[in-house]
Amino acid sequence: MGQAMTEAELRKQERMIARKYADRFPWEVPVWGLSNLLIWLSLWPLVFLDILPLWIAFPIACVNVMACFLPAHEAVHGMIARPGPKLRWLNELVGHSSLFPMAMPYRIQKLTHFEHHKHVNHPEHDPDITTQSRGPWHAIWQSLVHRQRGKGGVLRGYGYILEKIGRSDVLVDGALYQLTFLAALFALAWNGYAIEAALLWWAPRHIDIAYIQFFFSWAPHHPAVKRGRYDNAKFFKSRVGNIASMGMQYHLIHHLHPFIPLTDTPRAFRELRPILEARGCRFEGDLR
Amino acid sequence: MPILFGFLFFGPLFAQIMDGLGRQQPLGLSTLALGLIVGGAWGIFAFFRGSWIWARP
Repeated sequence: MGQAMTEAELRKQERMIARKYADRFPWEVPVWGLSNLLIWLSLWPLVFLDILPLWIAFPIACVNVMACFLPAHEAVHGMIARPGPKLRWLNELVGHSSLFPMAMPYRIQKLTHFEHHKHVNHPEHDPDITTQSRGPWHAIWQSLVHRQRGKGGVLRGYGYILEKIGRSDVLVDGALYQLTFLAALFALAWNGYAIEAALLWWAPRHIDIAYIQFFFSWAPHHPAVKRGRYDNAKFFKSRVGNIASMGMQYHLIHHLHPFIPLTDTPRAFRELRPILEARGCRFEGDLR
Repeated sequence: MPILFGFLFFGPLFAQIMDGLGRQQPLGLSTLALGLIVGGAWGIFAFFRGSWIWARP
């Protein structure tokens, strides 16, 4: 197919297929984002009232904190509603609220993520380049190391990028979120709920930062060197499957067409595959 | 902030873990006192080192 098609034909075909998937209202995003938040919030009274044992609540909280990131990411790209339409408020509500378990401000996530899209794998301008690592275990270790204060503070990479684009004002959000998170942990700890706070929020958040950085950033971009439209990420077959790898087997589809909802990227991939092969994209494993 | 975190979160956390394990007066101290010593010391270390785990960016 690719050999027979000209550059213009390839581009046109790709755009036509992508548009088919981009026009759908992704009802699952608000449902997912808001229900995930409600489930996580409900764990607290369930545990405090001894209705749910902490050893069951802990893995649920880990899933909640990990799952909160994806609806917010969809909102970052205006998947529910772009600026202007009536449902924009819902898009922003999902973006702000679903990230709450991660204690991550939506505005910081949004601005830095757009910079990631603009400068994928750039050693200075890509805010997520800090996940660049030699291999999977090194990636997990790097995730732990990079969240240490070091010499530049915890928002070192993101802070630098926000300053560069003239939006260091949103760092206030980061400070407020961090202070709220810490105040909540301290208050819980001094009222006899330190273990609950650790296993419902503090530990899941740390575990899931590593998890998200691994699957959302490291795995699809590794070795994070190439910067072309079709080779800045790869298609890969994950050993843990598509759901557990956060749908990131098809991450390049997202970079090529950020308006395609996450749950549609596998179908879009299958339809676009001949074009992607013609474009010389990277494929690792038998991805279908 | 690491010092505060060490004293205000890890301190009571370690104390409550020791309570949960039934350790009464470890080293002759109350669990909270020992928790604050360990958590606070770790926080002080993290503050001066710039890392809770020795390695830093």
